[in-house]
Amino acid sequence: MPRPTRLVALLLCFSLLAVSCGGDDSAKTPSGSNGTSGTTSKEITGVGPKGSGAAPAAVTIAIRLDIDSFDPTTSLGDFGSQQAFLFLYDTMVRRDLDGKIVPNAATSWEVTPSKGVFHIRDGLTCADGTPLDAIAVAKSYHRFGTDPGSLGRTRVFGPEGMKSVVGDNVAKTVTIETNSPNNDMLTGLANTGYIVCPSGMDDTDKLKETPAGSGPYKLVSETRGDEYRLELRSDYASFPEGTTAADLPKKVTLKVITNDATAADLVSKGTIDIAGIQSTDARKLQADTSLVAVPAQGYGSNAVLFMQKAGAATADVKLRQGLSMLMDSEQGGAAETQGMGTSRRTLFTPNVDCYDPKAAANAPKYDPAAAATFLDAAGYKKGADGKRTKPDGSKLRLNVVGNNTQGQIPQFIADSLEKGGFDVNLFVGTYSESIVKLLQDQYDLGSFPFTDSTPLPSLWFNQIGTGTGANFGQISNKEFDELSKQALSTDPTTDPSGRCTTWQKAEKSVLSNANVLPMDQPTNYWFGHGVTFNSRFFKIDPFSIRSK
Amino acid sequence: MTRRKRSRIRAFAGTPTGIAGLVLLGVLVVVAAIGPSVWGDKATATDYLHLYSPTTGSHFLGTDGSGRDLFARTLVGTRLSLLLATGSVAIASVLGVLLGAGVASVGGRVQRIGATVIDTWLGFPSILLSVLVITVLERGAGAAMIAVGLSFAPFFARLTLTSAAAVASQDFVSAGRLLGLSRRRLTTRYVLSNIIDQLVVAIFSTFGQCLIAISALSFLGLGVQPLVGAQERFSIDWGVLLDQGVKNFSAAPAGALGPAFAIAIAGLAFGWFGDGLARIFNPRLTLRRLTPRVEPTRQTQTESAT
Amino acid sequence: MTNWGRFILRRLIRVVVVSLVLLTATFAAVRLVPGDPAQKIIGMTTDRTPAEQAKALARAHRDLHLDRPLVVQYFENLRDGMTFDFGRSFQTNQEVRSVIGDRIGSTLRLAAGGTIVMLVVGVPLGVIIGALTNGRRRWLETVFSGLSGFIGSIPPYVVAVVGIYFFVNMWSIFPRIPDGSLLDDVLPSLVLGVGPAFLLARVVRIDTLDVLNQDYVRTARSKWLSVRRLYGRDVLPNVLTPALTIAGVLFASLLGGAVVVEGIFGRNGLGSTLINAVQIGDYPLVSAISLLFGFAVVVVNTVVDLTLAAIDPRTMVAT
Repeated sequence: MPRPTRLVALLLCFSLLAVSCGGDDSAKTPSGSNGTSGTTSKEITGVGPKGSGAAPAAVTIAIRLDIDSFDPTTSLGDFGSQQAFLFLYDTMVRRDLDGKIVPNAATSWEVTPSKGVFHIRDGLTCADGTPLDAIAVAKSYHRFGTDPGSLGRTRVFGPEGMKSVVGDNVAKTVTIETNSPNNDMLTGLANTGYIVCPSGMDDTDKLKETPAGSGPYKLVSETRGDEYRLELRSDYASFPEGTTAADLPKKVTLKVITNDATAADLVSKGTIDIAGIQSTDARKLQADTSLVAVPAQGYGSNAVLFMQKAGAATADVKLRQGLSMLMDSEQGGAAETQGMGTSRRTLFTPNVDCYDPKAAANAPKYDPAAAATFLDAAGYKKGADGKRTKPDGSKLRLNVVGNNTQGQIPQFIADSLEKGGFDVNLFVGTYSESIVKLLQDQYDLGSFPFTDSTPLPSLWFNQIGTGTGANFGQISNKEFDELSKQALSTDPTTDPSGRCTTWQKAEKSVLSNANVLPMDQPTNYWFGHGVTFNSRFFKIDPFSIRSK
Repeated sequence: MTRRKRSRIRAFAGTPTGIAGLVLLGVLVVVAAIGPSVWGDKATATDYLHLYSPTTGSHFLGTDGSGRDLFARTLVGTRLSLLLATGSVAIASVLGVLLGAGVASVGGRVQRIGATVIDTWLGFPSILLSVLVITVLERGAGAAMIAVGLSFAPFFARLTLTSAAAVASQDFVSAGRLLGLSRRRLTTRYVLSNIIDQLVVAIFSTFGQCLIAISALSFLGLGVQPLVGAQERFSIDWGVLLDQGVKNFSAAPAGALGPAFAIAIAGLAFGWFGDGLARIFNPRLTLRRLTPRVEPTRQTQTESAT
Repeated sequence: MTNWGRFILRRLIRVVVVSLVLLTATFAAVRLVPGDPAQKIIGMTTDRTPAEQAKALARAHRDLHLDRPLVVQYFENLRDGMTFDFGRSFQTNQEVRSVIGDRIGSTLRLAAGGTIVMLVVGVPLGVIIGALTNGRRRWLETVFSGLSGFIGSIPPYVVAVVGIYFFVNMWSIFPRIPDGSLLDDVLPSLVLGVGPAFLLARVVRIDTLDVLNQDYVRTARSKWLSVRRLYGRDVLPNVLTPALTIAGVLFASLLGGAVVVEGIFGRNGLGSTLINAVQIGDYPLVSAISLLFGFAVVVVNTVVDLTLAAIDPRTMVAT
């Protein structure tokens, strides 16, 4: 990178230090903002109003997508699975609303950037009654770090992966070592590091259908694709501080409702108690003052994903840049969120560490006329049929894949490219279908929900870092990998600005190389019928459900 | 012949529903012909900042999730809906008649087995059969057309088979057989020429049902798949519109009513027209048209064939 | 052998033959898929590593018997069909049997609701209109034939949309999605049953006219028999026979309708499962559910035939 640019970036960061370069993300989440009315910034924190204090006996929560698997390590599921895991599985530590790491399976810990020693709580048990000791916990994390299908492994173990996980039943510790420093290890553990009990470790095929839970609830009965009935365990003890079993609903039902209008209808009637709505159906509910509204914004932007698999036309950076110039995030964002989200052209969103609004300038600017010139110059000239060809003159057909849970964004992408002179083939299917297509078939680009529920820039590394678990498009950007590694090894407490500068450089590299094109930051409009709760964009906190 | 023709026209004119059906069909055909070129631009102009608009002066049925005008889209969808129905009726009738004639001409045990297969085929819910065919083929408009064609083919096969049986028992056929004409020759010469009337009626009666079946497949996401850009206007059919309308029913209910009425009206138009035709060819066919898939006499026909 | 014994035996043989045709058809459907059907399993489950995918593929091959010669495949498939063991769903790895067990309830509720509406509305309506139009009221005959033809020709999914528009959106009488109230099944049952009910009523009306014009009924009427006895003892039993015949046949279309409208009414039944399975190529589920529907149609028709024979033994002779 040429010198002046770096200087500018540095200066930029200094000027923004107070706002967005801070490493401590507690600055991001306004504390004590209990209340739904008020300013917009308050409305999107995902913190519900204070309830009566008592827990309802039973709640029914709508999930937008079915649970694909009960194996938290390899699940590709989104809304449904993630919500279920939060009820069924414990993690090593928790992250509270203020961003503070608090005990869960581990009561205390000593962490360095590449090593963590965790003291495991006494008397942990599994949903099936078997004791959960340090070695069992270590085994679960060992699989999390080594299973090739593990989706979130870099969140815990960093870019270079796991070095070792050792359990000690005498000292009652689990020691995790990573190959490279990862300052986000604790958040990774809180967010994706679910502990699978020994019964599930013995048979991971069975685990897909039967949870081997360590968490507060157990699965009592299910109708796949329809509803899952959970019950609070009587022998569970790892409650967050200040919470007891009496504060939790005894029964929780997760009901699969894929249509937002349906969920909105049922929550307003009280047939279900809690639903997250992302479509315009939320507007009607917002007007209903009898409902508790707990809107929560996603962390990070949803983006157009350019595949870089061998054979994908979009492996060429020039083409990616040209295509990016054809797509307007203003319209695209509205298409994806039905106008209920916020259009973005940055990877990091204002609620994520190291956000810099000027980063939008790094992405190719929306300008169809300039795109035409740019694409012509790059060799993608129009052929005899008026459609752009590959630089070698052969036919070019762009294959677009998308799913029908993300509004009209797939159609928007296809339309924009068609208008830009490309021959486009569009596939739109259900969420699971589109994942199948992504993994199985040859596609060039598509829409993909990148949003996560933690405010850390490292969430992107897990999704577009070379060879990482959730990199479905096989995106490869060596510069981004290098910078991410560097940022993760920078201690946010001692060098917050250095960390953010590096993350912003990493973001810039992704945007200028058009690995992805950010479109929007979605908002999940959660509503409670007679109940209040806290949410983290696409899942609600099991310990926060209270009667209104 | 001309007198017969004239009397037929008179008979048709005597059925008010037949006339109404003819008029409606005419309107549909005109809309189908001019639809994409007249309303195509309006139907495909996206405006993501104004999506799910309710009924307004400029948007009679509101707009969809891309801000496109739903009334224009319903009109434009007429062409593809009618074309696909035409295609599936063509497949069903050609295949069915060939199959029925083939089975009828072989005779004996094979004929009985063939008749059993045709009746099982006929008894199977048509939508399920279509779904099974789509499993084999790649999803899309063509696959849906073939699937519906295949699921309605046994209706024509049964018709041919039954007519063949009726014709075969007539004197002139027995005479022909005595003269040494082969069974196949007799089938083609006499049977086919004798069922033309019924066939025409059956084609029009089936038309509406094929349209309904095709729309159902699109409605379920197994039929027409959306194209993009300039081609998009040729990938709109009523089933797809209805599916989108139902999904956004609470936001913009009018969007679902448009295609729903279009499907109902088209089904009715073909039904009425077929009714009128049936009356001029054979007054007794009237009841059959209304219950062709569920014809009560079918069961007994099955038995007599087996 | 008695007439009854022979009749039942022939019916059972027919069920077996038709089931064989169905099994063969579903077997052929999956084998006609271009390429290796089991290949679809890759990426559909959460198995993403090559080793795991190979394992899943092998399992799918075993479940579909693709690793055996074609003839063996066919017979293994027949055996699976008879024991109703179709292996596991590609997508969820659940046993197909248990998926069906989970979902069949809501489909049965819809089909039963529709059938009840069809019979409860169709038969009395036909008899009443028949009685009213017996040689009188030509206008009513015309109106009824036009109306019933119109209603009978509208597909259930269109009826559903119009029904929801008025009964749910406009007047809020019935819930669209089940919410645990007693009214849950009313709207879908009406939607599924109303078309077949009117078609049934057409047939019943004509049969009613036939019966009313029989000599013995005329005699009975001339003797001023009570209306209740006339319709209860003479008309209804005689009308029931053809009504049942057509109701059995209408059941097939009703079942097809249930498949289409399940989604509209937020039911997670076999229909929506089937559609989803077709979309992603989950063949074990597709074959099992289509087979089940086909079998249901055959069984219902057989039950109807047996009932008919019990009511009126003359129908046995015809077969």
